[in-house]
This record gives sequence, C-alpha cells and structure tokens, in this order.
Amino acid sequence: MKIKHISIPTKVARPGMQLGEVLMECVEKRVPGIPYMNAEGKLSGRFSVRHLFLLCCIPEDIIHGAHLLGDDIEHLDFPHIIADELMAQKVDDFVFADFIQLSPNFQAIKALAIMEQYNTSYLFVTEGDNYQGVVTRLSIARAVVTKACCVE
Amino acid sequence: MDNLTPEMWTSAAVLVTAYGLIFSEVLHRTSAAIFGAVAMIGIGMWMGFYTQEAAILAVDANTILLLAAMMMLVALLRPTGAFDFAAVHITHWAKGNPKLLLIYLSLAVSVISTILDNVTTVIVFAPLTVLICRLLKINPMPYLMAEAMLSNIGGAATLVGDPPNLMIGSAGDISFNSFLVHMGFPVLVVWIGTVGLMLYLFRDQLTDGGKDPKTLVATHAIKDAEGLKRILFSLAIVVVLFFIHHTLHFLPAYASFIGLTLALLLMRPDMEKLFSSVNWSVLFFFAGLFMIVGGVESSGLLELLGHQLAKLATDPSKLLMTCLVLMWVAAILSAVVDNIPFTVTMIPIILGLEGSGVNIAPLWWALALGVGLGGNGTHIGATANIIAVSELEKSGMPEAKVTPLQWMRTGMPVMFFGLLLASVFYLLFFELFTTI
Repeated sequence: MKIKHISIPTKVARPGMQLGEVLMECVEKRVPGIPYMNAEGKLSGRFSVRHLFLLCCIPEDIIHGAHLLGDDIEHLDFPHIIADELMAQKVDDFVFADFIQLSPNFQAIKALAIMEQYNTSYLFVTEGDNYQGVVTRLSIARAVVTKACCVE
Repeated sequence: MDNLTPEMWTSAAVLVTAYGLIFSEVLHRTSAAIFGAVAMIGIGMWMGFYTQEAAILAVDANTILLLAAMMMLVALLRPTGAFDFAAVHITHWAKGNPKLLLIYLSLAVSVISTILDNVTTVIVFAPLTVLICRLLKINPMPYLMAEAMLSNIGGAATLVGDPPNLMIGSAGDISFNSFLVHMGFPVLVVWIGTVGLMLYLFRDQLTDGGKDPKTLVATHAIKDAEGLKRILFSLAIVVVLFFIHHTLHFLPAYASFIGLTLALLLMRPDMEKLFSSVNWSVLFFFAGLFMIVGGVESSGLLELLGHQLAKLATDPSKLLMTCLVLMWVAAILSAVVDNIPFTVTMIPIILGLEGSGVNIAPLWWALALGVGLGGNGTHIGATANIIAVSELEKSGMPEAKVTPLQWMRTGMPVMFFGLLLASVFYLLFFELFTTI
C-alpha cells in the first residue's frame, strides 16, 4: 500500500494566515498538522495542533501535575475571549521548523515505522517541491478497514 | 615566590586554564574538568610530578559513590509520587495564606534537602509550586526564590545535604552527627532569619489572600504505594546508618549503599533505567576536579600556599579572623562561580595546615558555612537557583520572570544577612567550632 493512495490533501499554512483559518483546515480534514510554506513557496516548517495547545494553554507545570488537578479549575480553562484573540493571531509564531516529508511511493508500513521512530502521528507526502497531503495513522487504519489497502 | 618551581607554575597554569574554561562556560563544565584532568596527568607525567596512579588516588571515592547512591535512591523515590503528595498536603495546610504557604513549602524543601540532594528536591518541587500558585492566582516568583535559597541553606546543615559538605566531611573525617551538631545550629539560625527577611522583602507580593486550593487533590498523588513504603524504609535505614556510621566505622558511602542494596532487593527496579537516572556528568565533573587539584597538590604548590596561611592560622589570636575571612571569601566566590572547584582546591590547603600544627577544625566549619550560604547571592550561584529561574520563565506568567538583577536584589541581602548571622553565631560559639 503506497502512501500516495492514502494521503489526505490539505491546504498549506502561509505567512500571515490567521491561526483560526489554519486550525479550521486541520479540524475539517481531521489531520494533526499541516505544512507551512514560506514566502518563497518552499515548505519550511509545520503547524501542529498539539504544539499549539502546548504553547498557549498547557504549561509544563500543569502537565507535570495533571493527576493532582481537581474539578474546580474553571479559571485555568479557555475563556472565549482568549480563544477569539488566539484565533486572530498570525500562524507564523506557531510554526515549527522540524518536519518529516516522505515520497508518495513509500509503503504504508515504512510510514508507520517512521512515525514510531519520530514519535509522531502524521507525516507530509511530497514529491520534489510539490506537497501532496498528510498521511496519518488514522488514514492508514481507514485504508486497512475499507480494504483500500488493496488498491494496487 | 622564589620557592616556586616550574612544576608548581605548570600545575597552576593547568588548574587556572581548566577553571577558566569551567567558569567561562566555553566548554561544558564536565568536558572542561575531564580536559583539565587529562592535561594535568599528561603534563605531570612528562615533568615527573604526577602519575596516573596518583590521579586515581586523588579521586575521593567516598564522595562520588555516596552521591551516586543518593541519586539512585531519589530516582526510586520520585516516581512513587511522595513529593506530589507532600506538596498537595502542604498547600491544604496553608489554607490559601500566601505567607504560610511560603514558610511551609520552604520548610519542606529545606528539610528534604538535608538528606537528599537539594537540586533534585527543587527540580521536583518547582513545577508543583508553579501549579499551586497558578491555581491560587498568585505570583510564583517569591515561592520559587525562597525554595531555592532556603534549600541551599538547609542543605548546608548536614554532611549529605550539599556536595561541598560531603567533600569536606570526607577529607576531614567528619561524622554525620558532628556535622549536624556543628552546622545544624548556625544553619537553623540563618534559616529562621532568612525566612523572616524573605517575608519582609516579598511583603508586597504576599498580601493577596489566595483561595483554599481544593482544586488540588491528593487522591492520585501516590502512584506506587507499595514502592513508596519500600523506598521510605530503605531511606530510613540510610538515615539511621548516617547517625551511627562513625561508631560502626562505616564510610557514609557504604552506609548509603546498604540502603540502596535494600531498596534494590525490595523494589527490583529496571537497572538500565535506574542507572540512566544517575547524573554521571556531575560525578565525572567532581572526579575531574579531584584529579586536577591532585596534580597541583603533587607539585607542592598547595603545601607552599598552606605554609603561607599557616603563619596566620598558627597564631590563636588570628585563627578566628582567618576563619571568618575564609567564610566570607568562600561565600562571595561561591556567589559568582561554582562553589565545588573552590571547595576541592581549599581542602588540600586546609589539610596541609594540620601538619603545621594548626587546629583545622574551625577552618572546615568556616569553609562549609561560606560555600553553603554564598550560593544565594546570584542566580548562577547555585544549581537550585538556575532551576528556579528556568521554571519561572517556563511558567509563561510575565510577572513571574526573574532577571539576574532582580535575583541579586533579593539574593544579595539574603546572602549577606545569612553570612552576618552565621558570623555572629561563629564568633559567639567559637569554642564549639574548634572541635570536630
């Protein structure tokens, strides 16, 4: 099963785009992140939902003491006003330079192994400078369940 | 100066180069210490003043092994959730009172630091403290600064509370009990005085009454109750052995290894994981320093320096002044540079004085007090301070960030006030410090 058959085509994040727009793309396409294309049209990083939450809502102390938190912690939660402000911010401040790209002809098993190796749940499929989509564990699982893995 | 031989000059040059690399942070301190040790041995062999065997013998195995054993015991204790449990209960006892919370948290960190490494204690308590403050909607800065500074002070009270104490105790053959008797009282005085001073210095930040943090629950704090019982039992054995190690003719390292062995038998941990929790970098840093200073000692330079100091210290009327000068110089140097290299260098000098008929006991205590209290002056004076600053930065709260200057504004008064209290105590009870 080659990953070109199971990757999910998405938009890319571009300089100046609002966080809300980028996040909405991830939500709609059900992917944990999308690539970031710089002003020169080259992939130069990634936007990740997980890292967005890590950066803006869950500092390390809360992660460290998560098991100690009771139910009465409303003041730590997302007030709507903060969520609105956050979504209006530019995506550029939330881009990570490290990302992994795979050739469309890679086998799914190799993609899964690379995900394990790098402790990630998604990878970008590119051919040269052409971005084709995101392959996730779930997209591979979907292909297995729907027998799409036998497409070749 | 006429007595200085080429070997002395050379060994001093290697020491100064290695220490320069350590303090300037051009190289990681462990790399710099290893480089210094290798250079000292090589040059020493070539010039004939140092040998590989002498370098190995210069390493204080008691200190290194004791540290390794305690690191492993802490690594076994940490995942059980004991620290989380303590932090939650301390918060509940404080009932949201910011001043009480500062006192209780600092007391807990200080008491734990008398037995366990204070750096580990602060590493564990720092994120918990930030979380508690976040839930109480108060600034964590005073709490983390107090924890770091008071744990530095607390660690100075015992033989095992601070690596310099370990080195001093090992070199001077000082027992755990003797350390506690001689250092415990002045440290207690300094600790109480420092808490009072911090409550005053942070009076503006400690006025907001936080709410009772029922938002923290201890239900899931303990992750391994059975493991906790076993490691606490092993630690209790270690503490008991520390109190009687001199009577049993046990080295502190052996006492700690008895407790570690017990813990290994009772807990059957994953040894690969356990050994990866040992901070080998610190241990090799210490070993490298011991080898560097061993080379300087072999060259005869430290003996020469000792003779110069002996002229002062043999005069009983000047001994007290020499001790006080040593305490203050050690403290001021410890505020700006790592206190370990200074301690390692001073140890053979003090030991050398014994041969000149000087009572070196008061010098040991003065050195221990100086290096123990000096670290509070600046944010780089002690590792615990660096951890506190880093944790405050990670909290993401703008009001919690501490600049080096802000640290000094609190740290310098704390350091000088502590030194002043320790000096007065030392002066009043000088007789106590003339014995080991």
